[in-house]
Amino acid sequence: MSFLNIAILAGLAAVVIPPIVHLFNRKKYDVLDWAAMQFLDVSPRTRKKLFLEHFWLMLLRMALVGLVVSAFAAPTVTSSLFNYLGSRGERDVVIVIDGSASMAYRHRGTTGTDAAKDAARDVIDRLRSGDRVAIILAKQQPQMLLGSLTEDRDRARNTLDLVPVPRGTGDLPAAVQAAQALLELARPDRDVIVLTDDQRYGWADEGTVGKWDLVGKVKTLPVQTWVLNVSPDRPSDPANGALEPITAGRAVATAGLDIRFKSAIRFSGAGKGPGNVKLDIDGRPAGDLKAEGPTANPAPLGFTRKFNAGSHLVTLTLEPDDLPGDNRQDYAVEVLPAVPVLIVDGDPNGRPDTRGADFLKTALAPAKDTRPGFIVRVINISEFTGRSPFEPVTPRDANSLPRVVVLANLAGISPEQSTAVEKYASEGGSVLVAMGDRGNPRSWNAQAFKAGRGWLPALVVEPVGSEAEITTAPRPLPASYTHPAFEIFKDPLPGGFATAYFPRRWKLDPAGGVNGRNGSSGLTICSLTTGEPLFVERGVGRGRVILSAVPLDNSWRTNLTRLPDFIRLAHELVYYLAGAKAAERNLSAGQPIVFTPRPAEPPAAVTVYAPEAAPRVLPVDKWPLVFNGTKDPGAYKLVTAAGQVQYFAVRTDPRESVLTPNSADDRKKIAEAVPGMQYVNSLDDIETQRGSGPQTREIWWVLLLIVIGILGVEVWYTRRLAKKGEG
Amino acid sequence: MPLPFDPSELAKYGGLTLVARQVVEGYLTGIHRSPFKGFSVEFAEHRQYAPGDEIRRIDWRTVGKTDKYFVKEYEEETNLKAWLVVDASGSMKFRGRQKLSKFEYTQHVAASLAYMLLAQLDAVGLITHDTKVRNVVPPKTNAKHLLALLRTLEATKPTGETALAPVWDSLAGQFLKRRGMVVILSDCFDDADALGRSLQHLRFRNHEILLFHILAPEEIEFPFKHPTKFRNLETLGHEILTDTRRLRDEYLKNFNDWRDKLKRRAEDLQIDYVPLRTDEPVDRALGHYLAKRSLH
Repeated sequence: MSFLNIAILAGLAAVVIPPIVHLFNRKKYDVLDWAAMQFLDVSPRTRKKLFLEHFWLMLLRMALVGLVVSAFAAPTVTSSLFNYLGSRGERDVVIVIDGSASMAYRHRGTTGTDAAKDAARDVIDRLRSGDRVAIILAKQQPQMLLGSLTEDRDRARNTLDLVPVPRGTGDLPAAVQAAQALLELARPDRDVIVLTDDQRYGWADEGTVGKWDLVGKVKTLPVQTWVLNVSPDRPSDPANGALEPITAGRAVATAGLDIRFKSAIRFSGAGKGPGNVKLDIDGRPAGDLKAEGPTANPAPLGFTRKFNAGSHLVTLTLEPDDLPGDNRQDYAVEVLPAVPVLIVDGDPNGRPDTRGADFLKTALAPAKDTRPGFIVRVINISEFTGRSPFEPVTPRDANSLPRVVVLANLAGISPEQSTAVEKYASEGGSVLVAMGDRGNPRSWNAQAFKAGRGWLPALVVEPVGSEAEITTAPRPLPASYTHPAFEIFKDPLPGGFATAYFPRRWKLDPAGGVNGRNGSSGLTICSLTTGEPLFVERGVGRGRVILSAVPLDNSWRTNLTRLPDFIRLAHELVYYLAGAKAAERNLSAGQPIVFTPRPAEPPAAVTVYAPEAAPRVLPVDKWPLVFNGTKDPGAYKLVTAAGQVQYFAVRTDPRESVLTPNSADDRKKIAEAVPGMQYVNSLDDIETQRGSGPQTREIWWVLLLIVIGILGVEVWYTRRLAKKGEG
Repeated sequence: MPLPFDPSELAKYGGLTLVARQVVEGYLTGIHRSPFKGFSVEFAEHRQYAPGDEIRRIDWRTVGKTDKYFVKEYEEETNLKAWLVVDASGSMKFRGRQKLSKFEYTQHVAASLAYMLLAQLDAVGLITHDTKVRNVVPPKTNAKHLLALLRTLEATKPTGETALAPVWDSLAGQFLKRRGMVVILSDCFDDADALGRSLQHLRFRNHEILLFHILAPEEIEFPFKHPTKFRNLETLGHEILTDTRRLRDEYLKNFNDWRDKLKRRAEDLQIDYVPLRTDEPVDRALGHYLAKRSLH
């Protein structure tokens, strides 16, 4: 037995009320001066009888209180004992339809969704007069198609016509939980009927099992959950082609420069191979692509494109097949005229072109380059105030707010500066900190690292190594080039990044002194051959921060700035950091769109074009606009009142293409995790099995029946005692 | 229709004299013959029957032997010596819901009997007691003696414990040696067997004994419905807290067994056992008894 409202059991303390009342009544008595005392001396037997009468009466009353309290605590029992006693009156049913992309798989001319809709109609037809029904679509977030229980069966049937073409993933545990919540105040006879295609992903994969465990642990009223596979005949390994999500070499690009995009075609089933892929840019055809390795699976796709400044949408589309949901991938790319970068040099009195930071400036924006990819402004630490990260790099261009701030060889950072940097990063800006010979670890650690609670990725320990030890100086470790910013250096080249040496550098400790409860450590994204961290990264709010163990200049006798790859390193680091905001344009299903127009516009209505939906005009009182309706994967186009266009892409989950069905163990595992869940092969099975086998039922009514019985006994017993007393 | 007369009402206005007078004159005048006449006297001789003699005094045995009518002559023929033995123990204080406590009721009965007996020129004495004899007023016949009896009765306050059997035993040996009539007025709250033995002792002295068993209706019916703490009227600190409803059966059984036993013992000893309830008017209760007795 378990209790749904276990807290109410605290009321069991009330069982002491009858004894207290008894004791209290013993204090209430008449007093009489009496002569015939000799007849009051009762026999021990009578005395025992009197005691037992009171004792049993008190026990009865205690039991009454205990049972009433227990009934309010909503006890449930999993047993077949109460099946025949259980209510078989009016019934409430919530139909959960799997809305994931796999339900769109067409087999023998029918999709899983078509079969689910037919089954749902069948369920509705079988309902008796007075029964109620609700319908939930299991999308990334549960979608209440018919969000309240209704007896109107025509309305329920018509609701099924609103079931959209399945796209993306479906969170079935969340939908079942929503169904249980809907039945919270329902009738005692309540069922959830899940209509799904028995796909393992989304039901019994590793991530979903955890969700089912949580559903099982939530204390709800007992609900019978029936799971019906609406695509029982679907082959376990059907022929299918699927596109992998698109990735770009750089999340942020500058206008006129090539951006390389990658994807792949994953195919399964006999007789299926990679076909042609259609490329669209901003919704307009841009040619066909062929897989680079037709025999490989997945077959890689790669292409390069240049863009003008602005927001762009890259779309790949496969030839139609039986599972349409995985035949398209979208990618939103932001192209800037140039990436604004603010570099702060640690020399308070440094003169232009003589500062260490000028190495970085030159690498990013060479003086002779008429169209550099970066707009760089270098200021001295004495000019760096709390407002600096929020001021345009080019004073006349309000849109040149720095995407990246570089703190180059600063001695330390003041509290005001540190607060400004943290605010800048949390709002989506990115910061590169290069430690140098001026560094004061005490200041950095106290103001920026804060035992892991600040924005600096690692504890700055001390400078290590000697400038004299060039031959033994550590170099970057190629094995650590897995990070997107360093992938480009994987191939060893003469004069490549791997040939850089660092005789003296800062010792960084990402986990050093991290307060375990509140702090977090950074991640080493590039190491030295000694194993020491060279670059450490952490996310701060919506932005990123990278800490470098070496100054990105020629001090400490490093050869870094003399290497051709120094320029590439500077570009890759800054592009990577500038791309932090780009992640906000390629989203997961359900992740909200946060949009602020650039260049700035006064707040006005924004038109949202969602995939396979009518355009919606959203009023905006102030920026940013937050749009939560991203449950379906695909391209989202936002158009401002001034005509500015911004693309967003909600990514398709490639695992949804894996149509592997659940194994018997998978089904068993989930049924064990969720009390009251049973798999059935047909709706007839539900009717047959309802009321058979051990089922979880509320038994508060049984307790109340017992209470009524005991109450009757108590009244009879009390009257009997009273009569005996009077007789 | 006349209002029913309740002598107890008179207690508010006057002493026992008035009560006794009202009881006797108001209700007992209808009785033609004294119920106590020719009672408890010594036989002296036979004499020839003469018209005017009471028929019941003819000695029929002598008539059978001699065919002549003789009448028995007695000493003290008109001077019955009666003792009123009044229980003044603490238990007699019990009043219950009645206007009169058991002792007050006993006072009325005793006063009435004294008044009546003295009116017949019989000698009446009074003994009050609890565990010990408290007052003794020797029997006399003159009319002024009534005042002494009633004053003694009025002055007596019930108190002390009851151990009736030993007191009655001592009375038999000390004050009640000569034959006469002994009228005991008591609630008899003592062991029935012990009381029986004491009554037997008195009976051996050839006394005619009238046992007026005076009880309150609460003691007879035990009508209580609430939990009650009973405090002993005789023994300070002796208390019993009990559920009266549950106890009632057992109480009534104990009580009735005791009363039946006492009654049986009295009947065995040819003692007039007269149960009186304090909710019954004294005159009516006494009148019924005396009327019944006069028929014998």
